[in-house]
Amino acid sequence: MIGPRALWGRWVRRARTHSPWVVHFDCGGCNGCDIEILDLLTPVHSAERFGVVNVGDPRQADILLVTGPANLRNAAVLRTTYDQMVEPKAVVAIGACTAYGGIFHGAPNVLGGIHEIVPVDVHVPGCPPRPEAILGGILRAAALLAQPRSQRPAEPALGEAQPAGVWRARPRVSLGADDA
Amino acid sequence: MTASTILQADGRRVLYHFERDDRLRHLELQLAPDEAVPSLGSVYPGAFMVENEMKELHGLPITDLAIDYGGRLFRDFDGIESPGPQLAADDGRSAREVAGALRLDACVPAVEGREVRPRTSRVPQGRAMLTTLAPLTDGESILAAPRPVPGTTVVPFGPQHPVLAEPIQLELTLRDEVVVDVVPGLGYVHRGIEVASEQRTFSEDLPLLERICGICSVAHAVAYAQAVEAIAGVEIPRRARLLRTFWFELTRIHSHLLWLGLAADAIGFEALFQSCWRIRERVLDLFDLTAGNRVILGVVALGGVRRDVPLSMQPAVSEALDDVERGLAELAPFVVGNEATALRLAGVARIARDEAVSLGLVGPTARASGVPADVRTSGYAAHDELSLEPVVEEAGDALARTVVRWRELFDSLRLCREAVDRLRGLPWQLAVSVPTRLRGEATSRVEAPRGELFYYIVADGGTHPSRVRVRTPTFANLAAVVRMLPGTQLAAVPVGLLSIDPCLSCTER
Repeated sequence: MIGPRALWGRWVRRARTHSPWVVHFDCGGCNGCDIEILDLLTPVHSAERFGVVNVGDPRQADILLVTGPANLRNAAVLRTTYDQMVEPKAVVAIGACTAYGGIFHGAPNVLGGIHEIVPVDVHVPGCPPRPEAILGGILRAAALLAQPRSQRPAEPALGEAQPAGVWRARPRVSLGADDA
Repeated sequence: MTASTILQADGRRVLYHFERDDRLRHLELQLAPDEAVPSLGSVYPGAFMVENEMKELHGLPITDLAIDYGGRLFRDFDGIESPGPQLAADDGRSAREVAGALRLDACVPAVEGREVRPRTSRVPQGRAMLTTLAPLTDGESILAAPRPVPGTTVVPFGPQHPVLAEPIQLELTLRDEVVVDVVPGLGYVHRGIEVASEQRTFSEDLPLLERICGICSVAHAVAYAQAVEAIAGVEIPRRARLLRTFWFELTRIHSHLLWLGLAADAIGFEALFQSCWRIRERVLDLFDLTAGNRVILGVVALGGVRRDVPLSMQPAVSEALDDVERGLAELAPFVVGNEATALRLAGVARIARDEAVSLGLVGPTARASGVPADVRTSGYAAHDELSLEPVVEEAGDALARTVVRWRELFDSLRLCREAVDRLRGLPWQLAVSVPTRLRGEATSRVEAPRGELFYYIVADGGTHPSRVRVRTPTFANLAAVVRMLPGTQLAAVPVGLLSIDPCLSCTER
């Protein structure tokens, strides 16, 4: 028999994995990944069927989508945006530039990947990745929102394209132990 | 209309490039290492952007600048981005890593007990980015703007903002709700591509320059390839020219539909935003079909193109273009002649024709103010056989810019169809070979979706270009923002900024 407190915890954790609101920050890339993210929010690849809403306000968002390589000026802005988000939050790094700088690796103003500035939870590879792959990354990150930060894996998970025709209605996440 | 600085062992070579009626004139100055030049601002007000850039990135001393960013337009560290002696720290880190460490220390706190440090990165040996380093001092502002007068408020618009897809900061000085001054703060997207391209061979530069901007990547690829082919003295096959025009005009269609959607989003017309992007998906399907990728096509090669549109694909191509045209017909009542959109766009951010000429505006922004300039009339790629008239409007406000881009959509659809039709019967030759070592210099201009894109390449006989100068259309059109936003309401600032179709990744490279 599950007590009311545990039931409440389970319900909250389950709710947190559904309908993630995202804030998108372009860290200075070529816009290829950014327009694929916007493609995700428009018809055909609609992510809104999963409840994903692109809010511009980091204080209202669950997931931070980052594109582009970090450079010396936008590192601070990215960090500020991340800090303004409220827990539980997750970071999805989209594209090759966020991993190591992509094709701009070694260029003058470019620091490289964003992993040194914000902790990355999911990385979606590609230049740019297809909208289906980005959606896979967002859903993986949404599943992480149920877990406390200490249980998150050290290495970022890889986002993968959803198989065609399959809609994973509930992310498979273990709702085992009770914790805040 | 733009300028280039080339650093040499004994000083600098500065070129000013002027254009009128499709003719180019270049003024070249040979300067000693510390010799200064006066600003052209009194003659040509739009010059302040490129002069600030030359001053900051190449250390060119310029006097009498009207708007002086004090060396902080793009970056927060001092030093010029050019070949120079390798400056290394004591523990063997490169100059750029030292700069990165200094800046990160100043702005990024430790992350959950782990210290945040830039990782060692592979900087090519022998070519360093910086010659001197000086981090920002505490309290020093990125923008060199004077402090506001009493009675006004300063609102920083950006760099993270819901309506902006890219980071740009506009420091708006407001009196009540009306903007009285605006200072653009750039540098968030600056990747130093012009210098990075000097470290790669000519063919390796093509993917790099394609990614200056993901929206107009074909424009950059074609402009660069044309300049290299001019240096090499090769002529590309006719089939390649038609294919380049096909993908170029498709890029224009997808870019204008993208812009229309974003502008609709900025005025709150979300349904139009979603519909424009739904129609745009058909264009991306065409890219997928013909080029293999939706964004960043990679179809242009030095000497021609890398892929073909064979006869078997052409029914699918014309069907997709028909779908796009049908979609545009559905949208037409909501874009042109619609009172709701007109109320938000008419009269916003107006620029008169003489101002457009003196600021050096390009593209649909200029054509909406009555300036009939379109680089496609100069006949590059297949435009010598596929002709068009520049689409011109007179009003000069955001609504006129919308109408210009809307009408250009139909022009581009027609050009795509004609280009594909003329492919029939042409021999299957997609590219000619271009030698790996090149000597010479060449300029190349194309009409990117946002305006005139200008490339100037200098090759000194090696496998790498010695200078790649890129002047992008939004770089020229940013001067318009400084002129047209004062006098608008705060709520109209997103629309005003978006009406020039800003592409910050192009601007900052």
